[in-house]
Amino acid sequence: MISDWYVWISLLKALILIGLILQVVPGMLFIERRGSAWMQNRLGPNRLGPFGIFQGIADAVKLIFKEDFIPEHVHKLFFGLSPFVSMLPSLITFAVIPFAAPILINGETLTFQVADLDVGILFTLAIVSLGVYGVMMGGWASNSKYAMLGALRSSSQLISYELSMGLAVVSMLMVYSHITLTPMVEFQGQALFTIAGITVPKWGFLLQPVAFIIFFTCTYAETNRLPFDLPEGESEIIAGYHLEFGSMKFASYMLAEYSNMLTAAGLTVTLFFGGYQLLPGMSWLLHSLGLSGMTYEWVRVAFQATAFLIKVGFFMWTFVWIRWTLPRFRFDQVMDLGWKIMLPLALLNVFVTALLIAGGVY
Amino acid sequence: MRVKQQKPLLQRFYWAEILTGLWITMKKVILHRTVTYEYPEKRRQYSERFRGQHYIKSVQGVENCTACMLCPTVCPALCIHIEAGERNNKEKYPAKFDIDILRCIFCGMCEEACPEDAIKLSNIYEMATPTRDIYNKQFLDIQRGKDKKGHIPKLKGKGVQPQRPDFPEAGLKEGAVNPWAVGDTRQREV
Repeated sequence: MISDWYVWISLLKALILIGLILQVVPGMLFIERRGSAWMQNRLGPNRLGPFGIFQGIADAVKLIFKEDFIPEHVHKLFFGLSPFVSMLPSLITFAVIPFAAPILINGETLTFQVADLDVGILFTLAIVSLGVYGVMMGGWASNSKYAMLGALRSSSQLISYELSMGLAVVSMLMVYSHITLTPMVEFQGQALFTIAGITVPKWGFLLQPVAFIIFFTCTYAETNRLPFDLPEGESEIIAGYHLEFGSMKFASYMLAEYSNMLTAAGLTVTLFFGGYQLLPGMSWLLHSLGLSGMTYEWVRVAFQATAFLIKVGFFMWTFVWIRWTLPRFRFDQVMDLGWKIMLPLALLNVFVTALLIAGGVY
Repeated sequence: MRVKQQKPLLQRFYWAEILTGLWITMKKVILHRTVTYEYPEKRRQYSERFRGQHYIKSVQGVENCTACMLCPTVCPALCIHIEAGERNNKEKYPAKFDIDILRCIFCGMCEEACPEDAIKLSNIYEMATPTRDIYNKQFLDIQRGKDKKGHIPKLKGKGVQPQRPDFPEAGLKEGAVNPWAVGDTRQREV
């Protein structure tokens, strides 16, 4: 039987996580605008607060207070619904990603993820796929040509790249022989080899570099970020699926995009970069503190969460970094890359991984 | 015709080129340098010979212009209109001196043609107005871009100090103190 304690703790964890995700969005807006400006020899927003850090909040306030205009020609119900349909899966997906290793308090295990589901990574893949409904619904309900084109592009792109992403994950599952995320991270804590006292851990990208490249590319296609932002395609189809949306509805789409990015970064870190495994130097620092008992456990949790957030932060920055470096693909190029290169490569990778496992390499 | 491009091996491998591009953008972030100016606060340092807003130079409150009509003659944009008048001491002076600033191309030929060093171009470049202005004589008589000693102001810091241009509609009030005036422009005998 599930105790009250478990319910309350889960609720608390969910609230903290949603708060965290919502807080990331204005921060990422600021980093996106300021970072892009720096890459283009500009200054970027620097008026609000020190270094302009309140720009994201100002943007949010502006979007909230804008008139919530609904065009005449839209399907009213789906038009209102679609931003939230888009936002919800992106918020749900993060629930299974662990922030730190579980600790024991009075005989009860406290996990640092909202839900330690048995289906683990499959849940993530299932929910991420739902994200396309928000985009599709928004594009269709807008009842305009550009929005429809954006929605069509988005759905075909998401379906194409989900296949390769799934196959990349499959090869990781074969290596880890676990489907839940916490044992996967624990697996990555093992030593791959040791050279001159430096231990190299079994992080996923070292075990499966091809799977990492495929997964990494597919996350960009899944989150509709450059170089795969054809559903938006400002210069071709204006803003694609969220063309007709304004004020808070548009903000919800933005929120969905950024929380999707966060989830993608979290998954990349969990699957390929050792999840909450400590960064080099951090474990040495943790042991040199000389703590023991519960204090040690809590400090360890803090260290692991910090390591996880640093890694996720790096991948969030990579999203911005790549966006302002690479130009957008043409749509036929996207399809070519998805079906002619990524999919065969992912299949081949699964095959080779199976051979290597049979040969006892992993 | 379709030409098959044969690129070098490293360029055909997309990932290498991506990494090169990423390094370029990261370099920009690390060695952050801007080519833009925070305009109203920092200004570009232009040459002292910059050709900006016009003014008619005056000495001891009397304008140098003798209405010789050389500048409207030389003006390629035909934007200067002068009507000559005569003072009590038989000296010729411009009774009317209009510059249609929308037509002006800031070539500076009026300044070059002027034998009396009367029409000058200052280094003020903020001339945008919501109206289609024609600069009249009252406006042109303001001694622009010079301090009280008749020198072009010494510039401190990174850029030019803010100089608020005074537009006609901003209210060139009778008796207004002009920071760039040389001599007393208010008590001019006409």
